[in-house]
Amino acid sequence: MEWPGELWRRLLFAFRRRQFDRDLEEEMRFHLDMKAREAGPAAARKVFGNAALFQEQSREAWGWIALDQLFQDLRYALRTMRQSPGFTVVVILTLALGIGVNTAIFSFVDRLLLRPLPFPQSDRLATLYFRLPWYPTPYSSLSYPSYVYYRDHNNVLAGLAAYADIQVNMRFGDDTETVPGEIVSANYFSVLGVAPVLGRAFLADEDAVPGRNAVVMLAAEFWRRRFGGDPAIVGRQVAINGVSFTVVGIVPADYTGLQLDRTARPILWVPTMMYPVAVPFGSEWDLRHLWGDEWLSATGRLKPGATLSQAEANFAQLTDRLKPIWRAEELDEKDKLNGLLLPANESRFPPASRGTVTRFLAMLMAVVALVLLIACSNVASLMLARAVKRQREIGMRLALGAGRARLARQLLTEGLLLAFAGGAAGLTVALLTARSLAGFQPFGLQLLLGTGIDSRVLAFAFGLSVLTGVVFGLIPLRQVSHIELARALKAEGLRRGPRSFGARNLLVVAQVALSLVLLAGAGLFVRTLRNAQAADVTRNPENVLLLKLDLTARRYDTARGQRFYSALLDRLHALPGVRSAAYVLVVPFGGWRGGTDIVPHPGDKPVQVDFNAVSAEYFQTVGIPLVRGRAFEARDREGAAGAAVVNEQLARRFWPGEDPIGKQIQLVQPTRLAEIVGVVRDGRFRGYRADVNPCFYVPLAQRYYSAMNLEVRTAVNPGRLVAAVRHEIQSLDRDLIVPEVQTLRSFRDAGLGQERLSAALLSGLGILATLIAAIGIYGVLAFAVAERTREIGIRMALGAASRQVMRSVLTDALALIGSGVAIGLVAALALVRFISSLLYGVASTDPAVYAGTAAILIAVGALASYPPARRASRVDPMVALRCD
Amino acid sequence: MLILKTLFRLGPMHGYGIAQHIQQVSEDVLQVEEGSLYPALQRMLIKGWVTAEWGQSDHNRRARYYRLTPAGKKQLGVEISEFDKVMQAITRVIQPA
Repeated sequence: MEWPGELWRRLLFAFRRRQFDRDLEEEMRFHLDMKAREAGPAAARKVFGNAALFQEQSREAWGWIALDQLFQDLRYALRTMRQSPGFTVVVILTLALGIGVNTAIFSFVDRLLLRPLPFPQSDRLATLYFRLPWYPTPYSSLSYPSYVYYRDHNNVLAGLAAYADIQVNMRFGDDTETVPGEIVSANYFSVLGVAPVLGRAFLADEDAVPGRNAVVMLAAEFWRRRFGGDPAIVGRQVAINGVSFTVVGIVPADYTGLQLDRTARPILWVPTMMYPVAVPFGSEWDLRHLWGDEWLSATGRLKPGATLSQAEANFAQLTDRLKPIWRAEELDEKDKLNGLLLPANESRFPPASRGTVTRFLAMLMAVVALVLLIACSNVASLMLARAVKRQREIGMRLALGAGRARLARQLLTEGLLLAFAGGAAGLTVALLTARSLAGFQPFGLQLLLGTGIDSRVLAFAFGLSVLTGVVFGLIPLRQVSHIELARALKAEGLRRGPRSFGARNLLVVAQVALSLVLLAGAGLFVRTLRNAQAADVTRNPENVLLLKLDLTARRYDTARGQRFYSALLDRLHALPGVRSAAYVLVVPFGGWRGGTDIVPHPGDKPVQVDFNAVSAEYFQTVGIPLVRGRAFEARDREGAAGAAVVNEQLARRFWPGEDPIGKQIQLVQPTRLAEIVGVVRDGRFRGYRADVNPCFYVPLAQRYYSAMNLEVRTAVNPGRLVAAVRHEIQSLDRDLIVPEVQTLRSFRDAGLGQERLSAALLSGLGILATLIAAIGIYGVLAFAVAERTREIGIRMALGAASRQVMRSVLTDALALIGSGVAIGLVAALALVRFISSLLYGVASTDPAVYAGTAAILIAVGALASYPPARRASRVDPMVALRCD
Repeated sequence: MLILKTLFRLGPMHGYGIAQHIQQVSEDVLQVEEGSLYPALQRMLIKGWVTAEWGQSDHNRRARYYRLTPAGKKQLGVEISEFDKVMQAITRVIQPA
């Protein structure tokens, strides 16, 4: 009740302490003088008591002693740190590693799962999802009229906003830039609770008539970069997809959107009714009344007092009332639709991926927790060693009258100081780790992962530092409480009883065991990655350029599109450095497969098989071997007899033991016949875990698609041809958007982000942990040998051979390493059960991995114990016996 | 309690005066080291029961006067009533039956 005032008074006095000391002194002098006048100076002093002690007590009353002591402790801790720089650096680096990687992974967990979206009361936001009984994952898309129906007829939401991602061309002078944006309903920003930093949000009237109000809001970051933060931006015109838009407002910089699964932050917003300009094909349709075109997502804010389950019940009713309309629109599949509301905080990436993401993050958290354990045990063992060394110092201080509590506080201060230094260095480690890990795109979907250090991540690192610091501080503390003064002060005190040595041994065993777990995990994931890469049917994919060509927006007819395709191939072939070039509909490892029905033998039921469309040189370009027959050629053109190339699987399935060349396949949609002209090697298309399906290819010339992947195999470093390829495309069609160009390998590896990250992270951490364990083994043995110098000397004086001495040290070492390895093997086998679903092509109990890991650790351990063993064998009995 | 009571009775007073007063009133029964008064006064300053300011003493010397605050008066009341309770209890125990 009184303490704020009390704290204030203490603080106030803390700043005026010199004044306070003077006051107290003068006051006491006055007292003594008065008393002396009355009873004489000697009697006055006698009656008054110990003035210095009372001054001390007064100061203590103000709480300054604690402050004084804290500074003393800090100064002392800094001095000890400076005295043993090697120890300090090793401890800080070890802690930095442990705290850093944990902070990095935590920043992912926080961003993806824990932290609420940066909108006011984001827990009141809910996103509308639909579930079909036969489809495993809910989806969030709905049509504009459905959105309007839900918006106007629900009685549980304060507002329902609609939005969709768009890509538009923005023109700056002569430059056209493709930029990401969102097309949103007028109430979008007010539902989310986002206020523009400049200007205003959209008005309801601006979102009423298609194409009427060309207004746009820009992202603050974009406004600063492109317009220098000019406040006169409001009212200015910008050209989007060739239409002039008026800027009405600026969206704050911390806006991230409701969805994280995107590659870049949106930089502009237009009202939904600008769809004729912003959405491909938008100008051809009246999306206001098109029930079948589901291009929007919807998120609403619950009314005060409304619960999510009430809202869901209400939406279920509305969905049922919409069903007759959908039926009338011949959208029969919607009859079984369930509408559900998911909290926006839990649907910031597709709910279908939530399980995968959570499981993977849990594994990462477990791995880095292991690393922190290793770091802690290493630091603990270093601290123990030092505590033993410092025993005489501590004994001396105890003898001089230092209180044990005071000593404990000082040791704790040292531990905390080290931990904070480690934590601070750990932030750098965290930043670098988070950045490089995010580069792997490990979650199987594009996620916008900020990698900055913010207050929450900082708080996590701080908490971790305090925790570790307290733990370390407490370790030497145990020793302080056990010190016997007399023993500590004598040289004898340095000879330890078996107890703390036992503790150090235990820590080494723990380090070896934990390192083994990490290394075994690394081995399993490296094998997984190898197997995954080996499952790729293409050859030398690092020399193949890949880019997506989407002619859809250009609205070419088939003839024009085919002309574009073949003209581009001709131009590319003429480029120096190009070996071959081809188009393919479905790129291997792209995450999906084309499927279609065929009738292999006349009269059979249709069978679904994989399907792909490729141009003539495709197999040669990506290196899929031709097993029989021929690949597509120029003669397989439109109007010629239908041709098909099949994979071995399809040939085996439908014509076992027969030559498939010359056989006819009937395609169901569109109905046509194709003759098999060649057989190629099997390949996985959807991803490495997919089964190899029967697959057939048709020539692009006979089956037109407006969006294809262009692949160019180069004889030179493919990076050098990117500009030339872009140039050829743009010289054919200046307005075609050419997206990012990458190599086939980087495309494949992007799909293997999780595998690559696991392999790289576990290998890196496993190697570091092994190094730490090696240092630990070395330290323990070197220490033991130093302690036993006299004993060894006596044994050697009594005739022990130096080889015997060496063997005895090595035996001790191997016993430690051996028990560590044994415990590690058991722990690893117990833990791998949890990651077996993440492995591929290798059993979680693969003997080779475990044997290899154990061998590595034993070898490293033996190497680390050799120098101390050698030192032991070189002990000179005379020197040893004289040494104290 | 003695200090608070003294300040309550005498009004603002310096440390020496408080010590003198306690000694006189208790007729030299309560003899403590007078210096221990000062840490106690510091604790009361922190609690906010007294305030202190420099003034002129009877002998024309600078002296620090302590003054009871309202919080101090309240505290005095609390302590006296508690003391009374304890005293009554003791009295009952030692009274001949």
